[in-house]
Amino acid sequence: MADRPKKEKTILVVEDEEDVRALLAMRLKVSHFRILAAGDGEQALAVIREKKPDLAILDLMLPKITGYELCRMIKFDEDLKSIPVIILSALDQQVDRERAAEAKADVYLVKPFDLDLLLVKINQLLQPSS
Amino acid sequence: MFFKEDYLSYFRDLEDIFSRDIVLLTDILNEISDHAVHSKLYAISLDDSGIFDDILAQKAKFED
Repeated sequence: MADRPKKEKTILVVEDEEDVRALLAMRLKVSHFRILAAGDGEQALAVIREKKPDLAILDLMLPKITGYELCRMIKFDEDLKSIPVIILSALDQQVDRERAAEAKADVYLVKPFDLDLLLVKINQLLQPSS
Repeated sequence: MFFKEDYLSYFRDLEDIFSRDIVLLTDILNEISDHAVHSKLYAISLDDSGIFDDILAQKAKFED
């Protein structure tokens, strides 16, 4: 197995359910990512502003600030808008996907999702643009 | 006699084993709906994730 890259990418996981948050963190960690975690939208925003993660994964149903609102705050902020955002949601209607698109989310995944697919999407988003 | 490279190789192997273990456990946890089984596997995965962190920390001591 290859050693970890010298500069690991940092991913912020925003999920209010602790076991889901831990599961994502565990899986991402063995995939050579450094993990930041937040349990609600306000905490997430503070972490994003301070740490500037390379990517953010947001659950939609969050306390205090919803995933849509948080995504919008990231994507319409000059300092943060370059951070790719993946939204995780149990909602699978066209209107939900449209709301995510309006909030400029980069990827919208419906729960339950395949963890390998999540990793594929993450690696695609973190590829340097040609 | 063990050299630095031997220890590094050992911890790399351990890292590989625990990576596969955690991938397997998280895949199962993501699929399973039985609460009792989920709780048991979740506890095991947390332990193994902690061990994975320890392995990385030990491996780092032998890296340049």
